[in-house]
Amino acid sequence: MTLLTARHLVKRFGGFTALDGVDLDLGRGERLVICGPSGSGKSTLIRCINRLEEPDSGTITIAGLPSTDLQALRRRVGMVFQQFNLFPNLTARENIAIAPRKLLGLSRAEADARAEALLDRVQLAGHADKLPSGLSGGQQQRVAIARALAMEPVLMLFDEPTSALDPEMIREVLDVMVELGQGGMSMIVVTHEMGFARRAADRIGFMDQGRIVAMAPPQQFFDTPPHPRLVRFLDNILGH
Amino acid sequence: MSFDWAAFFEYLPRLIRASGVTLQVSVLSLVLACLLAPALALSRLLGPAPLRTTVQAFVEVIRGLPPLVIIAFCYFALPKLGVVLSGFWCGVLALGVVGAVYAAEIIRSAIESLGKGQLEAALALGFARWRAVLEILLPQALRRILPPLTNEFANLIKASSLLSVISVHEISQVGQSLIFETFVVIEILVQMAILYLIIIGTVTLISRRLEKGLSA
Repeated sequence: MTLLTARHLVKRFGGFTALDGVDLDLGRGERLVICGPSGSGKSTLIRCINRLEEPDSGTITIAGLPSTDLQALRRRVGMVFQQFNLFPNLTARENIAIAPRKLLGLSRAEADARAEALLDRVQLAGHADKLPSGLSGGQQQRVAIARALAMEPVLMLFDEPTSALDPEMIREVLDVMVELGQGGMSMIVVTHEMGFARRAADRIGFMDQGRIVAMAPPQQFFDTPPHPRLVRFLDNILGH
Repeated sequence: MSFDWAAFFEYLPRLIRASGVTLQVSVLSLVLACLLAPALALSRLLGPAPLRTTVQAFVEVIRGLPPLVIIAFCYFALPKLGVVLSGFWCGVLALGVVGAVYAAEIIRSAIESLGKGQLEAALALGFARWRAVLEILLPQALRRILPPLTNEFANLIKASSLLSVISVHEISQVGQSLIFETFVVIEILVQMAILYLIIIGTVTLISRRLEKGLSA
C-alpha cells in the first residue's frame, strides 16, 4: 500500500536546481534510505515532503493527510534534523511534551506521561529533567526523535541525523532508528551511514544533481550498483 | 565653596514632588512602550509584506530622529492635526513611541538571533508560524531581551528630562527653574542627580531580579 507519492518535483534556489523532476513512491512501513553527494538534493527532497520547502512544481500526496493544510500535514510527518534543534530552554520531557500539549490539547499530565514513555523507548529514562545542554549529542538526537514521535506521525523524515555526532554516539542513534523501522514506522532517511542502510533499509536511493538516478534493495545496491556515478560514490564513501 | 545644607533641605520637597512626575511619565511611557513594542516586532516578523515595510519605515524614522524633535512634534504639530494633548500626555506619547521602537528592535533581533533551526523545529512539529514565534521562540528570546531592554528603559527615564522644554514639571524642569529663581546651583543639581539615580537604580534592581527569575 502506497503511503507517499511524489511526482515531477522541481525546486530551484536562484539559479541552482536542487530538485530536477523527482518521482518517489513510498510504501506503508517502508524504510527508504537516500544517499548521494552533497548538493545532490537529498535534504531538499525530504524538506519538500513536510513542506519546509515549497516545491516550485510537482505534486506530493501522503495517504490520509491533507496537502493544503500545512499544519495538519506536519503534525503527522515527523522530522529529525542534523543539528537536533531541541528547544534549549526546555527539559527533555518538556521538549517532547510541548507539541502534544499545545497542538493536540493533551493535559500536562497526559503529555508528560507520553514524553516519559518515549524517553524510555529511546533509552533515556531518567534524563527527563535535563536540559539539552546537559545531554550528549547522541542523547539530544534521541530526544529529538522522541519529540517527533510524540505527535504520532505516519511518516518519519531524518535529515542526516548522525552527521553532527561524534563517532562513538552514532551507534546509539542508529540503533533507535533501526528499532523504529522494525516496529513498522515508515521512514525516509537521508544519510551516509551505509552500514545502517544495509542493515535497516528496504530500498536505497542514490541522488545526483537533483535526480534519483538509482533505486534498489540494499543487496543489489551494493553488489551490482545500477549506475556508474553510484559506483564511484560507493568507492569514495566506502574507501575501497 | 561650601555646601548649603539648609538650601538643600529647603528645596528638596519640590524636587521630590517633581520626581513623582518623572516617575509617572516614565512608568506610563514604559507601559505604552511595552504594549507597542511586541506588536511592532511581531508585525515585522510575521506580518504581510506591506505591513512589514510600513512598520520598518516607521521604526527607521523614529530611530533617526532625536527624541527632542519627536516631543516637539507631539506638542506643537499634533494640535494642528486636531490632536490636542497636555504636555504630560505628549511626553508619555513621545517617550512611549521612542521606547517602543527601540524595544521592538531588541525583541526582533533577539528572536532572529535564535537561528533558523528553532523555527523549523517548531514548524515541523505542526506549529503555525505565529504560534512558533510566540510559544517557542519568544520564551527563549526573553532572557536575551531583558538586559538590553532595561538599558532602554533607563534611557527612557533620562529622556524624560527633555520634557522640560514643553513645561512638564518633572525633575529637570523644576530643578532648572529653582536654580534660576534662587541661584542655588550645586545643591539643586546634586538633588536632581540623586533622585534620577534612585529611580534608575530601582529599575535596574527590579530587572536584575527578573533576570535571575528567568535563568533560575
